Amino acid sequence: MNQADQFSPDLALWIIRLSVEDPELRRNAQMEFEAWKQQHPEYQGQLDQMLTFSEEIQQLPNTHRISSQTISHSLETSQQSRQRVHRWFAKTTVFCIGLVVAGGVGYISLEQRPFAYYAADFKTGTGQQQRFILEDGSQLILGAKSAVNLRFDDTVRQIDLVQGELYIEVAKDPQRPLSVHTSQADFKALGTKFIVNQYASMSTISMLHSKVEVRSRRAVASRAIVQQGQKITADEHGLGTIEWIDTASAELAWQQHQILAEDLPLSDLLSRLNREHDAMIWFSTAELEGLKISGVINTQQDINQILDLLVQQYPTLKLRRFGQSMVHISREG
Amino acid sequence: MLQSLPQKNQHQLVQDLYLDHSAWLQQWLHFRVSYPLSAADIVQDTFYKLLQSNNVLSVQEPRAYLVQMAKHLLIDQQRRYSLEKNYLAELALQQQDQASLFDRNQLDEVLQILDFLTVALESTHSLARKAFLMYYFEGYSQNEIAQVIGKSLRSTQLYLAECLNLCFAARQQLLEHVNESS
Repeated sequence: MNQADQFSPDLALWIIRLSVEDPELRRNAQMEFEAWKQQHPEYQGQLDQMLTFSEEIQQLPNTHRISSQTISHSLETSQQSRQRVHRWFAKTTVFCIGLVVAGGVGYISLEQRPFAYYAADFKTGTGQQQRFILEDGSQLILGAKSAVNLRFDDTVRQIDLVQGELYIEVAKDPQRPLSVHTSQADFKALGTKFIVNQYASMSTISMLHSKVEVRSRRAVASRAIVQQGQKITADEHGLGTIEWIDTASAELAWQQHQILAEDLPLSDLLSRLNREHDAMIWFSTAELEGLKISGVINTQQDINQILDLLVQQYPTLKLRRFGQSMVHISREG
Repeated sequence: MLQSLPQKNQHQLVQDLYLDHSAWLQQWLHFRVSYPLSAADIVQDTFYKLLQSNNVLSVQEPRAYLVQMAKHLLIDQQRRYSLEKNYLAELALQQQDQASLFDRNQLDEVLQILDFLTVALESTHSLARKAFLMYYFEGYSQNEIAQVIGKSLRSTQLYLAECLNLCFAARQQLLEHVNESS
């Protein structure tokens, strides 16, 4: 931006003030303007440009048949067309499932929605955690290999969690509620601090401060208010029961990349580990169904140690290692 | 890959990117973008834009970057396309015969104006937008507008000035863009 551009808001205000209809106000503006002009003679050229521009706009209904209505409609269509493009770029789940079915592939890897991840507004890489300050002042931290799309406008602040985890401290704005969307549920807040984890089969919210309203996207009537120190899980059947958590340890766990698992499906845990590590863990979600994990898992630990611990807990699991970084997990019997 | 080859010039880098990823990008777009935009055109435009930008060296995730770029291009293209459709439909409603008399140059000019007005007004809030439309397109006085939107004259003037400035800046940007591409 050059220096002239920095003055253009002032110039615009002069143009408006100098064309006010009330004669007395206009005289006042004129006098103030003369004083300003003497201090800033270098902006005369730009002022003339903008004045011409202002007059041209005023003439648009006559010269180009552009009415106020044309513009209102244009704004509407423009917004719709943008949403259409956003939908195109979010249209990935169906495509991926199509591929899996068509190929007859039973195994899924970690990134369930790689294309949506690539196209997202904000994202983090494997093992990364990153902080973003949003336009409204809210503080967003994304967990490893996580991605969000933002839709902020006059009436809503919407965050689509494409994959992974987020921690957010919501800036207060009673006019524009903030909501976080996952595949399983919508979380709506006014001003608060919470963590959302999204897995293939479910998402959870842990409230660190204040409260949110949770709506299931699967069961229409399923709704709950979750308060500070509470946690709720949403899956394909609706919302689970509200559980109590220790907010301090939840926050610490987030900072230290720990997973506080309580009946966490094994497949979801493996997905999460894939996001934290460069190793590739292959498994079949269907085969691992019913296996649940509880406990504190430190994702920064060596991945092979974590997997060995899992095998100790579930001896029917079988690990096959391919090279340095690929592991196949299956269940025997 | 890109950072290890600083001695290569920009065009060479874009060419490499094109060879490595253009087919992938076209396939990717083909699955989601529907008529009237063809995936092949968007891929060409994306790489054309890449040639114009000067930060190809800093691309770390080329595919994510290309997709993001295609997305922005598409948003622009879709906006212009729907503005045109909308405007022609309105003309047709007003006077069926004269719509056809409108020549292409004139239409392009109108669309450019609608384009920068839309871009500018989208970035402000609804009250300012309303004040701007009433003042410039509906012939209301500044005082009347202040009463309608329930704000002081001073605030109304600030709204009007903000919109005027946004529109001015948006037109500058559009003109620069047009000059670049021609």
